[in-house]
Amino acid sequence: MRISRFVAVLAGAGMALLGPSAFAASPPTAYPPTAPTLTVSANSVLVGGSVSLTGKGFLPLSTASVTWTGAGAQGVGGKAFGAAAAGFRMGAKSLSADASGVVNASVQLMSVGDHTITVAGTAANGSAVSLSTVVTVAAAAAAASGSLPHTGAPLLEYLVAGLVLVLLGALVVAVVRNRRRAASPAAVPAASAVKQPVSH
Amino acid sequence: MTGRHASGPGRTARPAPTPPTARPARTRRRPPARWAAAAVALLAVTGAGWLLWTGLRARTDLNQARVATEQLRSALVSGDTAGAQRALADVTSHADRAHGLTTGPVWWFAARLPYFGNTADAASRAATDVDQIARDVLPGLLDVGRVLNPSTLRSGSQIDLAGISAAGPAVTRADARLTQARRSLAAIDLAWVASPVADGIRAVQQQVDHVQGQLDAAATATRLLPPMLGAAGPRNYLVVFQNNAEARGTGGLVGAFGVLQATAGHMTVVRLGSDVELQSATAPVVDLGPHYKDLFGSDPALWANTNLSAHFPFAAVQQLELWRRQFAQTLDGVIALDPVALGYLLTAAGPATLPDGERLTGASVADLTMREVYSRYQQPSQVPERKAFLQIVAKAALASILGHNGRSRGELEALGRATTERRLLVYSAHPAEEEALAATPLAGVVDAGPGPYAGLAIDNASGSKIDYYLDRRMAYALGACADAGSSRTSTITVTLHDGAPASGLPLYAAYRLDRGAVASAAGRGGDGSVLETVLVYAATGAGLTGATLDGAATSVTPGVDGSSPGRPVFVASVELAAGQTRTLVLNLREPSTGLPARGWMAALVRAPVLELPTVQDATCR
Repeated sequence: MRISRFVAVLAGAGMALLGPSAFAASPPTAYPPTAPTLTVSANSVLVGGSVSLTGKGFLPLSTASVTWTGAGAQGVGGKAFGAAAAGFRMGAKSLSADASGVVNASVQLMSVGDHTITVAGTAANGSAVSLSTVVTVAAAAAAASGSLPHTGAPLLEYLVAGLVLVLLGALVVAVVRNRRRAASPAAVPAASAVKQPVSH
Repeated sequence: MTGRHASGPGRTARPAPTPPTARPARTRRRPPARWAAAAVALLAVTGAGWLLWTGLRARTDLNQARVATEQLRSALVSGDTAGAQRALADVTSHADRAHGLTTGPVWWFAARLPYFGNTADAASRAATDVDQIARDVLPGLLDVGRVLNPSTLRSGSQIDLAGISAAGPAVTRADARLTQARRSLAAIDLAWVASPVADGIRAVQQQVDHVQGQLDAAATATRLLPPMLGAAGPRNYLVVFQNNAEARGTGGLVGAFGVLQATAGHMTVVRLGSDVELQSATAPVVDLGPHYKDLFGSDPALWANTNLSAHFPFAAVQQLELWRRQFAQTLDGVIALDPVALGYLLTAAGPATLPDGERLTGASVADLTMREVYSRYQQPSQVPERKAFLQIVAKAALASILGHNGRSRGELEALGRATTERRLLVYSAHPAEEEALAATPLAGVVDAGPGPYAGLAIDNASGSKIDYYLDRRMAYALGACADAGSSRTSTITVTLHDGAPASGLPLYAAYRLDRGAVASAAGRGGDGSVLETVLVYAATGAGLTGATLDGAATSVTPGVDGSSPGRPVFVASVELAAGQTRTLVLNLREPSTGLPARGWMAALVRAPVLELPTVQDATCR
């Protein structure tokens, strides 16, 4: 019916055909679709990291609250305002919606685990609204040890191995030459003296 | 490998014949040592030469076998049995020769050398596996091709269901044998294998994967087609035409619709209509769980918003329930199709003619139905005429496609292309069938499987037809490993370009209903701009560490979407002016699995560009 309604609005003249129910729009149902109203800067942070939250669609200049529950190290949930609750600190000082109904908050997360952060307040149409999101907090040491992925290009190893082989080959040639020289009558005795123990 | 080979024995051979006695005696006994060294060196050089010579010839044979396999595949698809037979003989003889060339004492010895032996070993094993496939699997494929011959499978709108059922056992047999050979190929250790050989083996693996994919599809088809096409009683499917000019998660907005009836393989379109006939609800008609509600609220109560998520089954179940409520009829499934796919099918079937004589071709249908039509019927008062025209187009196109009697090869290829591009989606309301479908790209499922993953879908938030002009590019890159290799960073970069003209657009195509009502100047828009809701699907277990839009920090909405338990999705609002390009970057931390990366982009009009990391990138060590 909503689609019909939309078309009818466009057509201008078709309104009567569709009946009054088509215009009794319940606010959350919309064409075109609306994007979700709570956005975050991240949902995966290291301990001590901060997340900024932005909630849209609040009553301009109304007050809002931020609450959290989390399976963090402390294992407790609750309101976290102003002062640091266990393992949780608020970064934002004020939590009132601005003139365009936007609420901004920044929270610093101090314990490992999943934290649910909820921004609650009054929607633009006067009804209560509550938006929440889950942020995963990882131990800080975890990401510190980074290594590059194995790229699996054995060509370089082959070149190095080839070089080693060439050197070995050169060594063999050199040794054989030495022996040849040692074997010839003109060779210095010292050379054979050096070779002698090796031959045993 | 030859150098090392020669030097080892050469050195050990040296001391033995050297006597500790006087100089002249030693001089006489020197030659045997040199001879031994020379003999070993000669043996090594000959061996290396033999390896190189046979290896190169085997490579040529394996390449020819690969080419012949492609010929075999294409001959099978086109129903050319004689050609398939010839190609098979080719594959077998080349594979056999490659196998023969890479076996024997020299190869046996070379394969046992440390490090360098891996190359010989891998080459020899790959040749053996290919030979195995040529002898055991491909003849079975030929049998399958004989039964599942596309040129006899269909006559008009009648599909030969008995023939399809009969092919089942042959397909299953060939599939099982190929799986075996594929495992053996996959087990070849490519570490320390010279890159030309390793690349060759990867190419063979890819081809085998490809054939396996087709066999799996054939196996699924022989199982699913008979019941789904009404072998055991008539089936009725809702056919929705998705208009890609207004983007939705599964492609585009639901426009015209039809009902396709299949009875014992005979297909007829029993009804065609436009979306104005479809009644929406005031609240969502199916509860798809809290994650779905968090993302889409109650917007999906409207027909136009049933497909906001990219997971096609979510769209289908809501559409079927809306249909049931309005028409008191329980349908057996949903088939979604877009005008571009219709174009592919029309190209294969031949052009259709509209009642007024206008020709409808594969090349023209997408432009006609998603752009041109809004110019032809510009006035709001012409909406009914426009809808009627689209229905006429759909009817003519379907009549041409279903009624055409030529060879089906082109149509199978068109269906295949439409499926890979996610332009053809199928949902079955029968759970066993849907489960089998879910493994194929036809199902349009956003699965919850592990491994690197990047998916992109868009919901048009302006109520406009600007997505006809939208260009998309998504680049997915894997970064540094962390947590002792158990996790890693990754980046998904989405680039959107709005190619719409800034003026001269038809009223209906350029609305900005996110800014205001249709009656207001703001709502009428007209400048070619658009507000997009961008959904980026990420790897299971992935978390967002930060996001930027055109280089500046931005914030997005994390959610969970797709088949239970779902995978992470990040939703961003991106506004584009006509001609503007914007870049959204998501920085993620995701589990490291070693699995190959998967990626997709929902179907719009213009072909998207997708860049995925390679298999090697996927490994954290």
